Amino acid sequence: MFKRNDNETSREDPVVQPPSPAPSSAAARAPSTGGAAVIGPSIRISGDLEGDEDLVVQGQIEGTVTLRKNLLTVGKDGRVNATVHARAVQVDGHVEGDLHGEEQVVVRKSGNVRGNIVSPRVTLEDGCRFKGSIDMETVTASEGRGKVADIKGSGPDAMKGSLGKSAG
Amino acid sequence: MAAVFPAGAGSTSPTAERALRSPAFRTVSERLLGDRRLSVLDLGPPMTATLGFFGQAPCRLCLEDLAADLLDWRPPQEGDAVAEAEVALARAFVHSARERFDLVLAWDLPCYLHPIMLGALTAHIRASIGPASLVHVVGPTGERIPARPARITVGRDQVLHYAPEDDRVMPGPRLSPGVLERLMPGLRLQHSFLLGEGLQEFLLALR
Repeated sequence: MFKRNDNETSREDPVVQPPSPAPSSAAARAPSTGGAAVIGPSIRISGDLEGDEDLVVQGQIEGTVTLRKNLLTVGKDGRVNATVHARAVQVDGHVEGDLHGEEQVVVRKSGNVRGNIVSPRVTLEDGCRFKGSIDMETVTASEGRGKVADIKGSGPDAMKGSLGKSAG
Repeated sequence: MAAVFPAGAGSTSPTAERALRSPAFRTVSERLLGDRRLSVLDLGPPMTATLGFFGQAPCRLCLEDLAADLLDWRPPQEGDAVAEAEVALARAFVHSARERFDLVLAWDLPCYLHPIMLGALTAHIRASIGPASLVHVVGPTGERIPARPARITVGRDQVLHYAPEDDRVMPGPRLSPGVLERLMPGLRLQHSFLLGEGLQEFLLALR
């Protein structure tokens, strides 16, 4: 599911927890993950993560995260210190690093991001913390120039379209 | 921070929310929002509406949210206060020193920063813009201003929304063209617009 670099420095084994019918107490505290893989609150991973399913981070990641066809959600208590490439990214927690969203990046009110965002659709909910740059590029020729930041899509349904296409 | 007081009631209260059409933003739109890619430095917090406004054109928007880092800065008792201010500023900024911007949004912040910090910030702005760039300042002009910076956004209709987040007030710098040019040396006032209801906006450029 995830590749791990040989040069990882974490003292703990990285464990990606799939949702289970009888969740641990930590998983029970976590919000619904909709079938995505979960990195639990007590897990710290150092290295490069790559995968083909949606991922929810409640713990800590340092390195790079690549989910080209999938959604990365950084939960409220999640901390990601990494360069991220994903189809869509939703941040409720803390991120330090650049976020590349093939389709969309959403920083929720509780989110705190220090880094740059490159995506055709960017939503920063009022009240979030963000320091960095946002590149709002042309999406496709047929859509014309300057796909706008997603004002309407800042509510809870904003990611549904992206989630609907998830492979995970 | 200066002494703060309850705002009191009334429609002219400095802590009242306001939505006012911005002549300066019409100028900004006409001069800057074109086919070429626009580079904007916003010194304030991330705001959805502002992001949407600049998302209408190919744009790189750099958000610094400086208030959180610099609002409480005061000069040290000893040592070089300007150098200390520059260090704090360098720590707060995330964009590259080499980056150049077409437009700088300095909304409300000049009313709240210590003059030494504002001087250091102005020097940084001067180094980050070119001869055709504009610096847009919005701020209250009254004797009393909200105790913390307001949340200011610009809508797609070029209307500025001014929403104070603190019910208390404190003495303000009474922004005027002369005061602003003194507080932000090296920048020249191009336009000044009284928006009404105690708000004013300014467009500045390199001197």
